[in-house]
Amino acid sequence: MLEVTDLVVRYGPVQAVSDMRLTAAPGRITLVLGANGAGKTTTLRTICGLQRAVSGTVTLNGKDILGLSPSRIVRLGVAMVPEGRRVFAPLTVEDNLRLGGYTASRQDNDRTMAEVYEMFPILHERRSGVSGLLSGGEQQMLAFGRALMSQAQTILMDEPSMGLAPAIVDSVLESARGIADSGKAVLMVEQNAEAGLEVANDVVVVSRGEVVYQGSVEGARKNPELVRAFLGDAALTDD
Amino acid sequence: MYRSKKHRLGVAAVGLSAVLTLAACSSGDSEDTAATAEATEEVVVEESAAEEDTTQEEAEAAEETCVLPPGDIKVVSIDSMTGPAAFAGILTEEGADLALKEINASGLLGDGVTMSIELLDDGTSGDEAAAQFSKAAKDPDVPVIMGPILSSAAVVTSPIAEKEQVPVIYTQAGSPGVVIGDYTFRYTPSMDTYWGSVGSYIEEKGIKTMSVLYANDNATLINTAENAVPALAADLGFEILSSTGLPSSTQDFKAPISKILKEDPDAVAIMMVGAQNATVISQMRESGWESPKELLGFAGIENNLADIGEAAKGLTWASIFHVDSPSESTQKFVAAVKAEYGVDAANYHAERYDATYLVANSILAACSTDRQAIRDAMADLTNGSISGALGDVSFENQDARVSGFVVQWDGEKMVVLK
Amino acid sequence: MVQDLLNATTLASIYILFALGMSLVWGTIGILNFAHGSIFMFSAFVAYLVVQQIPLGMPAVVAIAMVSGALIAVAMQYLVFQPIMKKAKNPHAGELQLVIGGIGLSAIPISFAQRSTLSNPFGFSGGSFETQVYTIGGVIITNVMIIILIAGLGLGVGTALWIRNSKKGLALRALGVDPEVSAMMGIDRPKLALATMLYSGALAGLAGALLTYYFNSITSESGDTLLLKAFAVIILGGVGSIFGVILGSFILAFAEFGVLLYTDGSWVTAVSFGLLFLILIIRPQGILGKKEVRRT
Repeated sequence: MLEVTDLVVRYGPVQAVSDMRLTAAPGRITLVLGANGAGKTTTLRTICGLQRAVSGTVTLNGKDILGLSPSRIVRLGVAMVPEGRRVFAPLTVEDNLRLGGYTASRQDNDRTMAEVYEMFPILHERRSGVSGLLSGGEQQMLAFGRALMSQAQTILMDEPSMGLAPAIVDSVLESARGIADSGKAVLMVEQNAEAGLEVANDVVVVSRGEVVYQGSVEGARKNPELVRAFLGDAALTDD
Repeated sequence: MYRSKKHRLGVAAVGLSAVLTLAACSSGDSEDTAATAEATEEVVVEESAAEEDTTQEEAEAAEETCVLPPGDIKVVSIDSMTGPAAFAGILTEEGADLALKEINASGLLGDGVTMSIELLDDGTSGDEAAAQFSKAAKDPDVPVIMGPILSSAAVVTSPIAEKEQVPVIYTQAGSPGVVIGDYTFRYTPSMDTYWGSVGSYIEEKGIKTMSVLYANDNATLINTAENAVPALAADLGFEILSSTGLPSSTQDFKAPISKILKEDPDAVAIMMVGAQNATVISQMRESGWESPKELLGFAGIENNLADIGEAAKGLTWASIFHVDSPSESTQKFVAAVKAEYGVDAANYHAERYDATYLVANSILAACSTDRQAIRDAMADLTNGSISGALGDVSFENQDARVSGFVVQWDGEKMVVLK
Repeated sequence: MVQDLLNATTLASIYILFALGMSLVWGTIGILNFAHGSIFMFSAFVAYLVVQQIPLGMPAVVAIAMVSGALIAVAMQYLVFQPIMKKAKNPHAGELQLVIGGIGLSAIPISFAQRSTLSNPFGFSGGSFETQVYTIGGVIITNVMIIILIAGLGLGVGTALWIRNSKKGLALRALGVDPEVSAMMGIDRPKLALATMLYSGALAGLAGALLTYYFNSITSESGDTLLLKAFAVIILGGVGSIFGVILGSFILAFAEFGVLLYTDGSWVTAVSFGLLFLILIIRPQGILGKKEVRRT
């Protein structure tokens, strides 16, 4: 269980995140929605140690992890699927996966790699190829697989559908659902509210760095103001 | 690397050009001083100016009649006290200080009249030296300037001296284009004028063919390799099989040595810069170059041989200064340097020691601190032969000429042959 | 002919020894270390100072130079490069600052050595090592050449294989591609960077000692000359490729050797840097460098 409370992050004088609070629980996808510049990506980067916070707490299973180095946080069980996928383009698919398992044991790596290949057969097919030549959707699968290799129980996903063809978005988000169903806690930031809500369990809506809604997807859909301002018509027609 | 290769190369280019510039400075300047002359057979150490020396009659006469106003006469010296040429600059100024000490102690310039040097460090930078020189030349209170030792600086400062009409006396600064007119004097003979003194050795050993290896970015060495060597060849009738100019950044000489070995000359003349000389000679030896095959060097090369010692044994060249000169006056000068600094006198000491005396005697002869009067007196004094720390020095168009003598490396140090 | 090939291969091994550490640091932790040449020089200089007092043999001299190089490199990383990287607003500004920082840093040991030696050449003549010359079938080889060949080729191939096959090697390659994502993978960049600088410094020290034995004496400025050669080697072979360093060293050494063998020598600099520009124009990523590949 990952819990963020009263998190405040500043870039110089600019307050990027104020009083952020959210929770990610095993088996569930927590979707963070909000306009550009709402502080969603900053929140994820702060959780995994890439950004310093001014105040607040981030706990993983009750243990405070705020302020630890990224490499320490991975070892504690939080892995990141970064925005834009950011696979190691000149390296092979398999090398990318091995890097994902950098902190894990050899046995875990062997086992998880087999699982990842089973989940994404295309990665197995292309395992010796240069990852930069994969399609966008395949690279996203690789980024998922890479995060799984770390053995982390909490996976942060930053805009997994970004830049993907509409036909592929659904299958990528289905994969995210599958990851949560396997018992992982997934914290997902997504611009594509429509697609994100399809797979999420909980929603956190942020506006200008502040949380304006936190609760279940169903609850969010029943809040007309929220729907109009943040979720778009999709939420209504779906309900 | 993949993220931003173009950018990185751009950044690299900035750094590269900076380093290229640094490398160009250091290689361009340091070797002049390393490669250029050294000197002396006879030195006159005059505690009381010119009492015994017949060549300094004018000065003596002037001393009797001239009364300079009491006070300190300050001349400016621009020298390389830091940077790659500092090894020469420091010794040069030691020579000047010794001469000054003697001049002031003896009262050469008259009662209550002293001479001092305002020393400006150019940091082995030609640009810095030129800027300092320009400033000093424009200051009417500066009667005479002791010029920078870097050739690259001197070729820039000489035109300034001519324009501002300030007499300047150089030591080192051995390249062409330094002594260019009425106001420029040089107390270090340029190497091409005496390199050929090794000719007696060449004849004695019956050398008929020679290959030459020289630094092609050093004015003094280029001048010697491309003019003095062919002139001597024409004179003595030996053949130059090849003349290879290499940049002073060259570190490995196996390829040119391989080429020379195929030509199979009787002798190889080596005129490289600094550590290069040690590398060439040791690599020649490793390739089997032994007596009766000969190695010829050049004045100053002895400073580069410490690390190869025995390998350089038999290397022969013409020198103009040696501490073991039988001349009484050289021995007195050498003893004075030893007493003052606890070291063996170097050519740099001797040249500037003599040049400093020339400045003092010119002031005395002019009986004035007026630039024009000093210049005229200096021109007069250098018209004949001057006996000083460098022995008998004559001047050709205000540029020193000394006949060299043959020296050889005995495995540990250089010794005078015969 | 065999003699010339052997001599050119020795020169290539020298370039490998020098360029290896520089390429590794540049290609992995992204520091184009313009102070590499001064680490090289100063390690040899420290060994020279010791040898002036105690007549040591080659193993001790090499060890002193390697330890000195490693310590200097680690100090540079810890005191200068790491703070610069930490403070840089963005990676690109950081790179330029690192280059400028390196150039500035290099001036310190060089000036120190210049002052101390009065810019005279220095070498290990105070030590007990003697160069031995062997003639095998008309080909001349010295014990120093044998050591340089073994060290250069052995460390070159060994490092390349280690980078290609080991887990830490993979982490270093990842760092060269994307330091931030590497951190997300749990790669401890500061620690690896320090270790890489240490290795690179030790290599520079090794090169410094062996080259001083080979050339018999070097000067305070010798490192700068080699720095330019190493730069050409790395660009020729491809930034980030250790096999590229080996290939680039051979190309440069054989090109220089050929030019010196068949011309009067004035072309040698033009040819080596001509090669560099040719590569930059027709194949900017270097011969073994991988082209930027990315589909999104």
